[in-house]
Amino acid sequence: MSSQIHCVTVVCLIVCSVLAAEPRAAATEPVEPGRTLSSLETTSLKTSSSSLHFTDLEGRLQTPLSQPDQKAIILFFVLPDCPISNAYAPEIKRVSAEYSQRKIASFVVYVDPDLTIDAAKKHAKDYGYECPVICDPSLKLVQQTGVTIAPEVAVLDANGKRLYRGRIDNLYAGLGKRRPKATELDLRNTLDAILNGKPVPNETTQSIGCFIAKPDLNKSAP
Amino acid sequence: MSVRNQLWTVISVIVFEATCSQRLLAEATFTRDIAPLIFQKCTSCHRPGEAAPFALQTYADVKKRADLIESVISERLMPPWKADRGDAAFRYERRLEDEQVTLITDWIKNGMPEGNPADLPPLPEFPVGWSLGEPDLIVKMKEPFIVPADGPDIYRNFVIPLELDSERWVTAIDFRPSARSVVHHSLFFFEASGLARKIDAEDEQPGFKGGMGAMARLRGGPPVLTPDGSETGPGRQGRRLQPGVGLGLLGNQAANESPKFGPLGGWALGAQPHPLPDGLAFRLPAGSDLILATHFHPSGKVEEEASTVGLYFTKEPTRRRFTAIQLPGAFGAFKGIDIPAGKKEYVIEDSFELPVDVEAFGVGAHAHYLGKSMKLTATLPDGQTQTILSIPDWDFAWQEQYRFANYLKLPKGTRLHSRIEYDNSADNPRNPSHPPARVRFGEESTNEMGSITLQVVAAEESQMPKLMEGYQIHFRQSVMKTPLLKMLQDRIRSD
Repeated sequence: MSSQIHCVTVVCLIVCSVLAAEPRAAATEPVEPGRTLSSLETTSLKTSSSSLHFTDLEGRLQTPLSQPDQKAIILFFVLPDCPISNAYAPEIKRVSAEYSQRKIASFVVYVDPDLTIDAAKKHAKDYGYECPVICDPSLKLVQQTGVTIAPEVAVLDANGKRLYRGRIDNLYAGLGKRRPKATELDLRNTLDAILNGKPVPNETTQSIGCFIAKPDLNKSAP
Repeated sequence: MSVRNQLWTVISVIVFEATCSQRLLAEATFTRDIAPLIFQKCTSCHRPGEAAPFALQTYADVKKRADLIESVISERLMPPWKADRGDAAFRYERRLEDEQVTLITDWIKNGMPEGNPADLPPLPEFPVGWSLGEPDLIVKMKEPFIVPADGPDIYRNFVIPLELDSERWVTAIDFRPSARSVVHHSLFFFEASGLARKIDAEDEQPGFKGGMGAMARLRGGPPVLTPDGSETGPGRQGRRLQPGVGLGLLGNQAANESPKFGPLGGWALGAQPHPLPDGLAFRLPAGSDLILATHFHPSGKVEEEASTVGLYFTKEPTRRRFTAIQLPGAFGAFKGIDIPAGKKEYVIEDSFELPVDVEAFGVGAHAHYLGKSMKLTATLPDGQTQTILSIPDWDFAWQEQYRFANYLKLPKGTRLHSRIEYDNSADNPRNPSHPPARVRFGEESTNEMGSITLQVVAAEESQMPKLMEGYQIHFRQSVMKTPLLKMLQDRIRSD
């Protein structure tokens, strides 16, 4: 309603000023405070990403963007109430177990700002995640890696530089279109390329799943 | 007041009015425009305790899922309803109108204004417990079936003894899965000879391996006989090539023997139980076991399913006898289905001219993963053609049984025509073979079948035998046209 009145006022002001031929203060669009905040946050994140730290569900301190003793990092972005995200839990567990032996660290990242720690713990237990699980309610890792979907993965080098962003595999051809079996194993192919010192086959692919809710700008505004 | 000031006033009023009315048109609000739609079309499943993965009950719920909602309603994935709008209206339709999709997507693009809280309608009162009231008989799976965390979809048949000492008439079945996230649909059958129990006992696990192949075992042979009604198997029937009698037929009036196996309807995600219209009811013989042919989607974690089923009986036998016109008959067994690997458009068709006036009350379709589109049309004696069912993007996962809002009257001489198209190319993501392989008729999900089934009563009860006879003649003729020898040679060569 306020934007409607505001818009009408602007139109009237313009008409008025044209007719009156009296210069008035130009009506400027108010800048949403939340938007400014978020862009500032992003900028500052980019400069200090490696120091970004989280407490995982086990209470351990984790730096998911900096793993100096590892060859690469996988961030699995998941939403606990997205069926496609949940359907990938077994493959997430297999990949993280297999590649942890080859010095690739895995993190499961919950990206629902409304998810309580208790609900996250229950979900992680139900689906049996064994790698560190972290909650990212302010979506810092989402902004950092550019993911938009759950499930989606970001593969980073040991210093947090992004090497791959996209789907785990092509099990889903679309929402509601599940193949009997995945035929393109994008994540595994990416990891194998990195371990073999080769360029990754694709830097980005399109993931199929649920959209990660955008941060609620009004909520984060002071 | 100067002329200039008057002019200013007039113009500003015009501009104000124009801007306001345009705004009012464009600015739908949640409380006034969107909530009623969401509550009516989404919330019955999207609420706590139901099958849908998250709730859609409040402004915050909807706002949070806006991007996903925009995608799934634009792609017509949700609400789940695969049929296009045809010439006959469906009852219990969950489809959103095109204008409703536009209203919601425009509202999302417009920043999702919440609107005046006073406009918000109350949440509908959803049924608690059995939505049709206390069932006449409640049964439950004896032991749970374990659904693994991942892997391909699972089809499993569960046998539940009903212990009925006399015949009953079933008007509705309410199905309650215990693990809602993994149960996708369940088709109900009865089996009255004890064969299902024997098959069930073959392995340790509850139930037995599903799919239509299992149905063939219960029938005692391949589905050579059947309109959708009772599937009297050739093994038991001396291999007569004739369609069986409709399940709703009074057994002793319509056939010499009462069928030992037949369908009782089904349940799919999103569907509410509804009684058959107009006093119609399925016959359930004394001593029957209930069979639940259940389709599971693994969910990412291990689940245990122990379904509960409520059966509703009518006091009287079915008020009108009903049967099913299946085109092509026997799920396409005699259409010589043989789809080359990579073939993008493969079509089977069947036509049948109604020998009597009929009234249709339901329609359903069946094919496996290569099925692409389905269409049933009726060309009336005056030459006018109506679309009865059109599914432009067939999805094996959504086997809806569609009911018409009212009896669809089809006069004698109406030509029914079914057309089923398959896509056996690599472009079909549901293709079970990668790379694509040659596919022929069969009951496993890697084979194909295909038919559209219209559930009908004869407009005059006395005309029922003539309708059945006409369909039998049509069915025999299509069997005669089948290159049986070639099919047999192909089978032998491939085995």
